[in-house]
Parts: sequence; structure tokens; C-alpha cells
Amino acid sequence: MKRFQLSWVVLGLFAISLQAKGSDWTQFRGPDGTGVSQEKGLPAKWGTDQNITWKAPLPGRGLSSPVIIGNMVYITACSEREQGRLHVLAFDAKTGKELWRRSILATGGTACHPKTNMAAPTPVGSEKGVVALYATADLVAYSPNGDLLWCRSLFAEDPAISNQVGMASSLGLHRDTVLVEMETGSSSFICGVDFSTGREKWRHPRSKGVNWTSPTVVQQKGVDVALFLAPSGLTACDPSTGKILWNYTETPGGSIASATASEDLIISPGSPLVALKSASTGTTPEVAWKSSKAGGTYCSPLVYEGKVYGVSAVGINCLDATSGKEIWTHRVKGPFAGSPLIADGKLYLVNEEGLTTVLKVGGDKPEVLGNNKLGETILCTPAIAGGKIFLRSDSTLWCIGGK
Amino acid sequence: MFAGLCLGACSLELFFSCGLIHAGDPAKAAELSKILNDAQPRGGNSELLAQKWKALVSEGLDGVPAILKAMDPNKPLGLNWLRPALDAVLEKEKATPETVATLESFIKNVSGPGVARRMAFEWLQRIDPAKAQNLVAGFLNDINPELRRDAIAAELVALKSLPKGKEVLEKAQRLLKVTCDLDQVTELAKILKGEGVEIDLQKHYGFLTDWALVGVFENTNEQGFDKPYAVEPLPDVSKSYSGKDGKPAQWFSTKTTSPEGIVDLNKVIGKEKSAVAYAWTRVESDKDQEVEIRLGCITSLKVWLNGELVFQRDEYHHGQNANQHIARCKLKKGNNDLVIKVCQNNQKDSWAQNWQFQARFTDFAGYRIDVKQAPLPKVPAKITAMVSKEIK
Repeated sequence: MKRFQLSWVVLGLFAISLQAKGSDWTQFRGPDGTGVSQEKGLPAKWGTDQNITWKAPLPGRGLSSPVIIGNMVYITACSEREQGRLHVLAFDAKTGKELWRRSILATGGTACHPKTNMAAPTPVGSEKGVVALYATADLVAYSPNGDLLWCRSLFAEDPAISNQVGMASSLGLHRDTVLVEMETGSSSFICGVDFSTGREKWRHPRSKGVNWTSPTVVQQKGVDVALFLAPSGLTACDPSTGKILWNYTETPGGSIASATASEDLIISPGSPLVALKSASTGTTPEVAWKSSKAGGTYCSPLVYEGKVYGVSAVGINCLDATSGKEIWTHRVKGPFAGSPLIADGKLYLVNEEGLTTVLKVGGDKPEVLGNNKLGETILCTPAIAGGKIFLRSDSTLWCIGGK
Repeated sequence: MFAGLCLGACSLELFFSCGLIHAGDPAKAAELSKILNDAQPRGGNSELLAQKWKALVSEGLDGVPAILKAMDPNKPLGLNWLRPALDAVLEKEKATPETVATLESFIKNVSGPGVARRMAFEWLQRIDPAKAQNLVAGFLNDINPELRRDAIAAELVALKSLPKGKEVLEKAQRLLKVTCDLDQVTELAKILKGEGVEIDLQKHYGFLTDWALVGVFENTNEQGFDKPYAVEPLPDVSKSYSGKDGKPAQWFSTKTTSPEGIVDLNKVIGKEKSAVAYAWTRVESDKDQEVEIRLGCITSLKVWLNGELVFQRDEYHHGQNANQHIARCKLKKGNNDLVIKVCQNNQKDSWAQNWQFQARFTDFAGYRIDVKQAPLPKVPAKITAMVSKEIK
């Protein structure tokens, strides 16, 4: 009887752990990199004194989003005059208590445009811990309790790596493989790195040229596909082995916003934005439609319930996912550096002044649900986990969603 | 009896695990730190190092001096295995008097590695800001540029609160002698100007001003960067070459008067696109010495010292400052030949039209090394007659 009870307890714990995993925010734009969250009941209104669960000070600047694994919130930052200290901080998701902070020194150059900084790429997280990349091409992994797992200087390995505007590609994650897109004017490659050891599973050289897009892992016809977007086009490969599945080069890709996908569609946000039909492995996908109505900015697009949402300089454009025809446009106060997210039928878009516009989407027209000011410069894409929204500025990490 | 032993063992374990005794072994910590310093690239020995890292952290505060002592700026990967270990130990130890004393003692020992003393200082700032602040004045001439910068920043604040006059003049002049950072030098030059003293910034920074130049060579599709034209790596300035489009490329001399030592190739060579030019100078060092060459260049460049490639960067139009590129190199006693290859691409954007460079030798803190620029060898008469330009 006791064994029976114990089994139920174990089963219950297992179910809870599965549930926790389901709400993890493991990488840039969420667990599947699409910017669409399955969370419900998220807040639509907040302010500096309203609906803030906690806020925590940060030791320096960062454009990166937090990643949330269970009760751990990991975030990167950089500090000191020339941004030479590269930090990872871990916070308790419930209380905002700083659990640990680890720092390394920049091994690559720290020159960049003043708008960006060395903590621009978003890290990836799993139950094994966190892997962080910085604009200096330093790559480091810590366990959940802050033990150093491994550390690499991609710059020392390849001193030609250089982007003095400031590299910003986030890492991608597929199971135990961390995806790195390192494309600069003087050296370029993509690779898959083992989460536990830092060793490379595969690597491909790429065309020289500065590129800030991030890898995205999507499922196409039941197969996991890693998408790497560059001005030269869109490359799909097997994230575990690096095997190239197809290349789409007909229309130039962008160099800032990242690709996204739904079950039926792959969106390449170049100029114009190109919608590709989902293809089987080894087949270059066909073009479904092209549009100049959504794209050409820093923000990565979204596909959600039959519609494509793109951010222009002045607001949001909603296109029909089947035809590419514009359904509506909505003016929103910009400018925007972070990408939009959608959860529970709400679209969240943060401008650089720290104002988050929340729109109810899905219908023929959007409905404004909230205009929420935090009063600090925010250049990151939000993160969503455990019913909360996480935002960061150069000095503060917020957890939003009430006590 | 057995229960008693168990209880005793448990108590002992609890006693140690609670950190009531620092049971660390400095010798073991030194050995472990040495292993971490041998980190292989590409995650080569990461599993082993991760184990050693944990063992090092478990040595606690007693291991801290060994961690700091092992920090070597010439082993950046090892440094990045050691710094998080320092974080893990000190985060656990927190602000005990023993921790503060350990850090303070290490910082004050100026024979310790500069980078490690800075790491110790940053930790002291976190756990005892007042004590850290008390140390700042002593960093005025520190070999670590970040420590030195803090001391100068504090002195600048004090200086600004003083009324104009002799005291300000003397203090600013004294500070300028140890100031390396460009923004602090500019600030001091402004204060001194207010006191009626004009600073020769070119001389202060030690920019190299006299150059022989030759160009232009082909750089279509940015291929010229990797193309070893006959000029490199050690030119003969009595020679002339067949340059871009078959036009002759001949040496000529120039001297920059720019306060930042910038040699503006648009002015002395022309608004060339898809082009390569070479600059050559000779500096005299009074001894063999390890130095840094600090360069600014808004486009791609390669640099040779005495025929050895010491720096290269293939990147166009992403900004420029005097400390943009830093490479360690060795000056030998006597004459040293410095060659810089500067490439311009074919970008049409208005912000992509400059091609220029600046160069100087400094110590590891960024303060100028006084080298004498040897007179340029006589450029052939016909070439001298052709061009000898000065940048305004």
C-alpha cells in the first residue's frame, strides 16, 4: 500500500515537473523561437506601481531577454567602462532574489554602436543550466547552481571574428544542441555546440558579411528544422547533425529580424518579406507570397492563428497567412528594438521608451487593451513564463503579473 | 557506541559544511588554478576542468590568493575559468573581515598581476565599498589601466571643485603625466587650456606622424586584403610598383598635423575606392621592449613590425578610435620597421567614404612609449618632386 502511495506521489511530482517544463522560456522568442506563447491569463495592464510582482537591479546593460527554467530566471548583462565584464545572473522567479552572479572577461573586442552592448544576444536555458553568448564572441555555460560547465572564446579560436557595430545574434536551442550563428564581415560560420561540454557537433562556413539574425528551430512536416537567415538567403538544416536540408536564395534575406514559422508557413523577413510553403526534408520550399507591408525593421514577425504580424516603423501590420493580403494596420508609438510576442490572443510590443502596447488580436481589427509605461529604456524582447511577463532595461529586471 | 560515532561524524560533517572552519589548502588551490589555466580551446578538456573548478571552489577563502595569483592576461581562457571560481567562493564567504582582509592585501601588493588586483578590487567594491574607495588614491600610477582610471576620475572630481589658479594647473599637469584614457586626457587638456596652457595632444599620445606612403593597388571585391603585393611585409622605399589599372605606384612622404595623429588617405592619396595603400615608418627604440601597438583605422588593415605580421582586421566602416586595435609586439633596440596596409572598399554610402589610420606605441596600460621616429630615407628625387603632402 505504501509503495502504491509513493508511486502516486512520484507520478504527481513527475506531472508537476512536466508542467513546469511546459511553461519554460528557453530561448529568444520562447521555447520554439516563434514568439508565440501557450500561456493563458497574462496581464494586459501594468505600471511602475501596478501589477509588478518584483523587480531586481541589474549590474549593467543588456539587450538580451531573460530565459526562465522552472523557478530560475537567467539573464545576461555587461558592465565596466568598456563593457569588459560579462555577467550571467540567476534569480528566483517567485521572489526576484538574486541567487548567484558569475562574470567573465571579454576576450574579443568591445567596440559597438552606442545603442547596443556586449550583452545583446539572448542566452539559452534547460534543466542543465544556461549557455550565454556575448557580442565579444565569448561563450560560457553554467549549471543551475552556478557551477562553471565550460567556457570558450570563439574570438581566440578565430581572431578574424569582428563586428564593431556590435554582434547581437541570439543562441538557438534544440535538445542538447546549442545553435550559434556567428556571421561577421571577416569571418562567418554556423555551428551546433553540445550543451554539456561546449564541444562542436557540427560547423559550416558561411559567406562573409555582418548579420544579426538568430537561429530558429521549427517543426516542418514532423521534422525539426533549424533556420539560419542571412542576406544571402535562408538555410534549413538538421539542428542535431548540421546536415543542410535546403537553401532558399531567390530573394535576399534580411540581416536583423529572424525567421519564424507555423505548421504550414515559413516567414523570411527580408525586404520584401517572403512566405514559403512548408516543405519536406531536402526540398526547397515554394514561395506562397511576398509582401512589402511587414518587415524591414529590427522586429521579427509572428505567425498566429492564420495571420502574420509584422512591425513597421510606425506600427503593426496584420496580413492573411494564406494570401499575404493586408487585413489591418495599427499605429503604435515606436521606435521598437525588441520583437513582439503573442500569448492568449494578446500581442505585446515594447517600444524603446519602455511603453508596452497590448493589443487583442485575432479578429478583423485589433483592440487596445493596455499602454503600459515602465519609464526606462527597453530594447529587449519580453519573456513569458509561469503566468508572468519578464522585461529588462539596462538597470532593472521586472516580473509582471501581480503578487 | 556506533550511534555515538555516527553522531560525531555527522556533527563534524555539519561543522565543516556550515563553513565554520576554512579547511582550504592553498597549495591544492594553486595546483587546481594552474590546471584551469591550461584550458584547451573548443571545449577540449571541459569535463575535466569542470571537475577541477568545483574542487577549487571547495577550497574556499584559503584558495582565493591562489586563484588571483594564477590570473594571467596572456591566458584569457584560463582567466575566464578562474574569475567565476572567484565569484563562487566570495559569494559564499560574503563580507567577513577575513574576506575583506584577503582582498585588500592582494590589491595592495603591486607586484601581483594587474588584472587580478582589479578583479579583487571589484569584489571589494561589492562587499565593502568604503574600504575600496579608500584604496583608489593609491592607483594613480597603477599598471592596471582600470585601477589607474578610477584614481584619475576621483582626482578630476576634486580638481573641478577648486578655484582656477596655480593649484589646479599643477595638479592637472601632474595628472596628465599618468593619464592614458582618451576621454580623461581630453578633460585635462580642457582644464589646462582654461589655465592658459595648450597641450600638444599628438605628442602626449605619442602618435607616429611621419610616414612614407605608396598606392594605390587593386582591392576589387575586397580581395586586396589577402593579396600579398610586393610592398609587404618589408618594403624597399627606393622601388616603385605597377599599381591599380597599371598606373605607377610610387613612394612619397607625408607628415600629419592632426592632434589625433590621423593620416587621412583621402587627402594625401585621393578618394580612391576598391584600393589598397601602404604606409611605412621607422622607429628607434633605446632598448628591447615588449609594447603595445595601438591603432585606429576605419577600414581593413594589416600591420607588420620588422616583417612580422602583428595585427590584421578585415572589416570596413565600423568606426574608429585611437585604441580601436591593440596588439602586443616587441620593439628591438635600434631601428624597427613598421608597415601598415590600409584597404578601402567600394561602398557608396556617405558614411563609407573615409580611409585613414592612426598609430602609436604604448605600454600595457596605454601610456605612450617614447620612440624616436627615424628620418625617412631619401625618397627618389623624381618622387619627392611629385608629392610631399601634409594633412591639415
